[in-house]
Amino acid sequence: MEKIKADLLILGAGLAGLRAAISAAETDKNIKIAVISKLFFLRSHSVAAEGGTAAVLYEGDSYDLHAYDTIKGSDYLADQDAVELFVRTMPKEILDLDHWGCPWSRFPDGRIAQRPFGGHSFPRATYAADRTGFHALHTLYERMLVYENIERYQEYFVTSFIINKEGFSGLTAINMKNGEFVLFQGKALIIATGGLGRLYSFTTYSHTVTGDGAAMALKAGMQLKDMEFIQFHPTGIVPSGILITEGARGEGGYLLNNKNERFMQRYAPQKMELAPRDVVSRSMMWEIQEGRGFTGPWGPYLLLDLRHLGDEKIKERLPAIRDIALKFNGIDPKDEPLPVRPAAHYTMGGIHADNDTQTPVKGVFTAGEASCISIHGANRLGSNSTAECLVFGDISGRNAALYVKDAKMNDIDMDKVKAEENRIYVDAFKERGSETVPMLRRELNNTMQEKVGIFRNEKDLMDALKTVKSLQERFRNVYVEDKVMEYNTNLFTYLELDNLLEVAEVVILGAIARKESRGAHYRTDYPKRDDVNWMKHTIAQKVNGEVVLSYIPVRTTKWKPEERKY
Amino acid sequence: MDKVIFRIKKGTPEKWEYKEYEVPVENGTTILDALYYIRDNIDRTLSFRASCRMEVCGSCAIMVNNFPRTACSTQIKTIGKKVITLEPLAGYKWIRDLVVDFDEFFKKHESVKPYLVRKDNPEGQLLQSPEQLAKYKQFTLCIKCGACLAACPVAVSDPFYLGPAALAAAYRFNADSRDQGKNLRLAVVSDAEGCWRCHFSSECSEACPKDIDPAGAIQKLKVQAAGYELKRFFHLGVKD
Amino acid sequence: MSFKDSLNWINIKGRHLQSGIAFILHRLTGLVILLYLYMHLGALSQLLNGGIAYKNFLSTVESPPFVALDILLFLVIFYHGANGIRLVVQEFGIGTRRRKLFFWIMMVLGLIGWLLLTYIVASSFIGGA
Repeated sequence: MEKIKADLLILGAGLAGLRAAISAAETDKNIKIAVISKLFFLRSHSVAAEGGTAAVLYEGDSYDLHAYDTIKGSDYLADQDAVELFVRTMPKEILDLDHWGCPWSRFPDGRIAQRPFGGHSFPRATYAADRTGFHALHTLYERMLVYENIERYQEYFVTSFIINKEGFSGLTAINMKNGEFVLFQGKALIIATGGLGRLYSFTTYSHTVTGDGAAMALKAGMQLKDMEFIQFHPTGIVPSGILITEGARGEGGYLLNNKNERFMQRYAPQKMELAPRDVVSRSMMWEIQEGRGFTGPWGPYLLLDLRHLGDEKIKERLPAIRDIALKFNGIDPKDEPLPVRPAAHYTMGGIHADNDTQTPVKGVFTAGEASCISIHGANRLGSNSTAECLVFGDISGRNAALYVKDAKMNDIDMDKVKAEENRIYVDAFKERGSETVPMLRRELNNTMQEKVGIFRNEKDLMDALKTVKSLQERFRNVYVEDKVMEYNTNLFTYLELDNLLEVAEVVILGAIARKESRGAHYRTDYPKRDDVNWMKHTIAQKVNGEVVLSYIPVRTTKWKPEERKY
Repeated sequence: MDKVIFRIKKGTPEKWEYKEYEVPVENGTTILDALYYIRDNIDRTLSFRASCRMEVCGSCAIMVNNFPRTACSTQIKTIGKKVITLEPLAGYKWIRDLVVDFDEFFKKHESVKPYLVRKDNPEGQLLQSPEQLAKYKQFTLCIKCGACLAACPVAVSDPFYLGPAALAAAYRFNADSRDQGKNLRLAVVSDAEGCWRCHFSSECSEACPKDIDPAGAIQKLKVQAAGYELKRFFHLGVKD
Repeated sequence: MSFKDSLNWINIKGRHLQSGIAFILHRLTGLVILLYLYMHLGALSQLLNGGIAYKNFLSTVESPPFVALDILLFLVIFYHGANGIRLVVQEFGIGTRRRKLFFWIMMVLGLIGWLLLTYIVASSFIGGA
């Protein structure tokens, strides 16, 4: 067993993880920081983010306006003090990235450019062509190379958190290259493992986004918050699900049904295609349900029309979209509209934490999509996630670095470590049933897509819960067939499926319990928002092996909930 | 539905063979789709790297009929062959099946100081016009897939050569108007195993999935490096 | 890396004519020219053996089979020269995206040059003989 010691462990190397590492290293150059990921850092899903990062930079915009847009967008479930902190910290992050070399797109006078985005009442999405997440992550990675006290552990698959009553103590992991068991010991942990979108079959997520951090947190007895809120992005291209950025609509693209009308007129007459994502996604699904969609070999779809923007504008502002359409669909956006359908895109919920990114467990912090502070509430506005990762990555890095200064290394419970080693290297390989990992995964994906999607109801959700519980049982008879331990992807996909099954249950339970519609959670049997009974956060925690739900109130400062019209 | 046969190099350096798999293919099916099909339905022990499936993360570069390509963005029908051979990237240390060791690649990238160097501590925005941005923008698109090194005849025969990706990254920063560290980088790349090891075979530019033209970047870097070396030779004082 | 690996540059599988193959040919023609340089110096050193020995030597190397070899050598030199000019220009960063066009233009120019030289040598040879 390889044993690795560091002061601060950061799990996950996307925008939040790398930003945290940089912040921690800047706060204290004497602490040893280990950044751990199951991927090479530049492969993290953050690179897929396209449209932009929201920040108040220029005249005409204000913190209160950004906060109000975010809170209204969240369908009033966001914690307002967290949002106020978020909008005030954001402008500095843009400048930091600029100083570190991020190739932001520019106005003709040389200032960093911004463009309109869904749900924002001022064009405040700072962008780098339509590859904002890609450029931001590469900039953070390159900047991270400057600090000598950051150690990189790439392609280490972390399998469990070792937490005792004094707080965090360590992580168990697999060195993916040679298959050996690894024990990480640290004084503090920042969880930045991203979302869980690969629960669904039609999704914008990378194959590797399997909710590992949330699942491990749940297994370790930590609290997950608001897990039932899953955002569906209106424009995933059909059939691959690859993201077509909201920026395409921000630059003037139209959404059309089979009658060639801009149907958003009926659902959000003021903001039209730039209404928040939950509104647009639902509108699109209603259009399809009422027969105004197109049918094709890969299911129904609507059209995103960019032809009127002209070839030059597309090439300059949306080059990645053009590339995707050409390479993956054989379509040139200047000649033909793109076939799109809502795709699972973001997880509003996550590991419960406060405004300092601290979780209730001593020494464990969390940031980015994996966390739920909550600033997105029931629905996230576009360009607010890359922003969240930067702000709370920064805050968690700073706070964790200050924490480890006075903290001590807790003792590791070696029984737990041995049990984990047994689970991975002995149990998982025992030959038993005939079902395989891909079989169960496909069934999970289809169930979630059909029954826990944009429109939910009691019967579908209960069916889904039954299926997931039976899949969890059937999973006990699945085993790892590949005996070669070097880069054993059979083992990794087995562990990822275990994680997905773990979090699927929490998503469904939260959705069943929440008898209202708010933000991205829409129930056809309870279609109205119920502020009297349901303006609160869902907390899910495992007690004696069973998931138990409880509720905590939403924190408000200036803004009272109103009817959400666009 | 057509069928295509994939010959895949399978195993570890100690014990390996070429295994054949038959995959149903239609318009739009990519090599990555085929790999997932094989792993899900035929052989669950097939190992390969993949993540974003949209040609932005750089995980899935492999040799397709002797040419390095990103599996997720390579359409099978456009290759037009009934048998396609898949092998791990040439010139990298082989771990298993289609997985190679990328540590050296990232070490080479890190060695050229691929980050913005400023001598001051600026406040506020670093202004840059769209024209200045256009000068280096194409080189910022590198997804670090490693195909360029697998294509380069020098890189596959000389393990010490820095390679197109690292050198293009060095040029990307040298050409960024906000950067003040040109000579720091030139000190690293103006080396027998740096930009001077390139003899413009330009296979890297043929292979690059993002059409970045790393070969062009290296040549522009050579011009800068030549100026740097001349200044040093005549003791004209090279400021850091 | 083994000695065998250091020869990996000669592999033509998967390489493109205007890029990797042009590169391999450039190195191989370069080797041939280098070898010829030694042979040429060796030939010139025959002068050390005196005027008559040199004249005999010349009459050998000016015979048809050797002239035929010379014409092949010119092909090698014209390839290396034409491709070389392309490389010199492109290694200043000029025209690196238009490799195919540039390559073929230089190949055509080189071919024309070689045909011209072959014609001159052949006609003077036939005329002389």
